[in-house]
Amino acid sequence: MTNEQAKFILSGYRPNGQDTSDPSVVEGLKQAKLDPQLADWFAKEQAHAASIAAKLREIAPPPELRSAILAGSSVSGDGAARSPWARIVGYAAAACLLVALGFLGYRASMDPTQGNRLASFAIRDAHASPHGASGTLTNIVRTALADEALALSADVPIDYEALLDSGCRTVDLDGHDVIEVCFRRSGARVHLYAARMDEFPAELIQGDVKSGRINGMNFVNYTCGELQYILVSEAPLETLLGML
Amino acid sequence: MSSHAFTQLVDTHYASLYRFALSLARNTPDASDLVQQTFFIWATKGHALRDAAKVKAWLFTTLYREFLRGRRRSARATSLDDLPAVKNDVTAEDVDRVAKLDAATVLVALQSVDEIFRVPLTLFYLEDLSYQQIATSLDIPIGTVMSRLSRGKAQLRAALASQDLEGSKIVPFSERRSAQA
Repeated sequence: MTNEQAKFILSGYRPNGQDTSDPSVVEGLKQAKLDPQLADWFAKEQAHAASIAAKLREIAPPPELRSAILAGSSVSGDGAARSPWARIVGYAAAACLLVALGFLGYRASMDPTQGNRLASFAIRDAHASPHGASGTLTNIVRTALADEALALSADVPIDYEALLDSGCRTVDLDGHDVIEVCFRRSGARVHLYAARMDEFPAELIQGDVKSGRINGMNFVNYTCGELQYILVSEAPLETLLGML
Repeated sequence: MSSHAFTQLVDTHYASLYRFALSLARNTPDASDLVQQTFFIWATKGHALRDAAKVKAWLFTTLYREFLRGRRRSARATSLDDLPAVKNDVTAEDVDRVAKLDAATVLVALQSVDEIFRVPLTLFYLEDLSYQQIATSLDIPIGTVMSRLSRGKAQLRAALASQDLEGSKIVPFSERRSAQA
């Protein structure tokens, strides 16, 4: 190996020594030990790189960035920039809103939950207490859902499996997991239930929207992607539909 | 991923990711947005990544892609590789110069380096990724990483020397008066 070759390899050697065991670097290091001129070059390179690295480490992130990441809110501070969570939900909303509102002639019957185990279950569960869930991802979803500008007919901005694992509230219906996230929006407390479409095949067809009122609670049942959702709240039905 | 694991992931990487983002975006709000966007993508898609050892590289790669996506410009990337290699080496003065400068000045100098060189250079100085991981993250050959590091370092040294030169032009008023007298 020539000195030029060794320099080429050693130029990627990090001053913190993490690359010492890298096989392709070992030869360059050996060469530097044997050649004083190369050793001098390497020492200066390392000193310079270490100095720059140390200066960069002094640059601290904005103090609110960490909490903003965990809360899913924006740190831009000018009010113009929206949370990345909100932006993604917004994009997805465009597609799902077309599907949901395309069925604006939603059906309502005397017993709107008849034949819909999931909706019946959601309303019963919404009456029960305590509600509430913890966990970073749940908080992120809650923040996103509470955004007045977002259409809730979008996908919940978290992978269903990831949300299941995150410590969110999960209720069991006939052996199937149903996720519940509570949030406040338009001055009302809203419960969002999510379940896999394929686990409740008879409840709702893709693109269908059902809504109604039972036991003092309004509900809207709709689908998006591979999931179906049920919004349950004491808020007026129009308010719930307006969230889609 | 549990919320505890997610918090741990954020704590481990957000500072380095922010520094990388700051070198790219050159302003705090955009850098913060890039970091948040990166963790959002992790939360929505990262669970599919089975190999925990690749998480760090994945985060840096994702942040860089988001930066490119936001700026919609990457065409310049290949043509600059044809630039001739830089020959000048680090001198003892270069090392001393950095030690005397504050972090903000070093950052400004780093941000003045051409983006094509600045990206691998920042990743190198952050010391989070090996040159092989940098190559994977940027989807370029290892040789190109080395070449860009070399040219980036030379540009940075020139920028730092220029900062130093600008600094030396500032002469305290009292000294100027005594010199005139």
